[in-house]
Amino acid sequence: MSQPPPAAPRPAPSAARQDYLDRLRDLLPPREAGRVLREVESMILDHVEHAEREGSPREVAEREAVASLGSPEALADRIVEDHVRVDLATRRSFARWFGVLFAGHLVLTLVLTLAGADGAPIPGILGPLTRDPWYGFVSGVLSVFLVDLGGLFGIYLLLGIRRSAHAPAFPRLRPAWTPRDSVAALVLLPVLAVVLNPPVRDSVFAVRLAGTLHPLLAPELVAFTVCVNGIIGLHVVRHVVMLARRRMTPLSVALDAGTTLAAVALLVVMATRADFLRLPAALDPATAQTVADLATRLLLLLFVLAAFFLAIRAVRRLMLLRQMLGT
Amino acid sequence: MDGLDPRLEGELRRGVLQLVTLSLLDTRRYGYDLVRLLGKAGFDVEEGTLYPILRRLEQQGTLSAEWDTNGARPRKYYTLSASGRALRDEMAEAWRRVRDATDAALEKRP
Repeated sequence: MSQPPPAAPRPAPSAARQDYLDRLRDLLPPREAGRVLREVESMILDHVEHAEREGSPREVAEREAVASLGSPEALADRIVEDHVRVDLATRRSFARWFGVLFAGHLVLTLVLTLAGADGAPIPGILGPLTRDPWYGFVSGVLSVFLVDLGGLFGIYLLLGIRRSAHAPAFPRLRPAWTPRDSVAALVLLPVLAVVLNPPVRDSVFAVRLAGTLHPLLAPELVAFTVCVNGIIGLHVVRHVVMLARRRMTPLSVALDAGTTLAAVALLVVMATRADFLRLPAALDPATAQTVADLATRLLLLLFVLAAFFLAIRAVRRLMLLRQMLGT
Repeated sequence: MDGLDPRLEGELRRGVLQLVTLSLLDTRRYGYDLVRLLGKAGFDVEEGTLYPILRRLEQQGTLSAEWDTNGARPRKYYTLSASGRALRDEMAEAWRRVRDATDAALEKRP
């Protein structure tokens, strides 16, 4: 097979071409993507050159050339020639296993419920259902259904049963990015850093009682400021790299993945702290306790949700990095 | 009925697209060049259809491919390999047999 050509100057890609190539890259195995994209782009440019010679404006020619390739999904399917379909035997096997699993699970759950079991034998998976209110019971049955469906689906995935051609759209790995996004981030990130550092922090996260300003954040949380600053700093570097190269690069994606993972770790560690708030001593103890409880729960929820979404983001960036490096 | 449904004719043409493509690759050509030549030969085919065929034929060793980097930008050229020539001749022979059998069946119509 022929070797790929050395990098050569090429016209700046139109949005239509770049978007098409990005979508196609997302769909192809990383090892194939670089080579296929070079070949497909070369074909697009040949089409564009020919159309321009015949008088078409470049933008129109690019759109025509991209349209002549069909959808990225259809092209990727034809290129890989590994049409991923869930055959009848697999579907029937899945339905049968699911029926057995769900029925068994539901029976056990109902038995535990009717027997008035106290506590779950397997927390999160097997335990009695709530009988009052009624929608708590329905929600419990639905949870059993979803746990079994998800668990079995995971097992089939691990066994190599892959998505069917009609499965929901493939999630895109490469986020849309324009230089304007980085410029906005380079304005917002320093503002965030200023807000999270003294003296602004001690004024913003504070209450004024009897003419005195009391900072609210517990020293245990404040101690993480240096880590937060580090993460913000790395994000600034990432945006500067992207602006300098006018595109996402492996370095910028690696920085993104690294800082996101660091943020996840930081949020998890912060969520395990004993105290989030330091309330003024002058506050009525009962009120202070209520406020502290409420704030702790809200912050805990915020930290866990943020860590969850950031973990997904980190995985996607690592997959994108793997794709960009072609490994 | 107002003539043959174009989709049916398209299906007939798709069946011989690989053979026609091979027949055009005695001399080296690049992908879009082939698209145009196929169009002139009455086989309107888009890049999204032709590219996977070229790629598969290259992977099978039926086509040799090389990047030409002498132009303004690199361009990939395809040509028949020795095994590709043999395959094209065998497919052409098979095509003639199919064509003769089809003609004979059509002539025997009541």
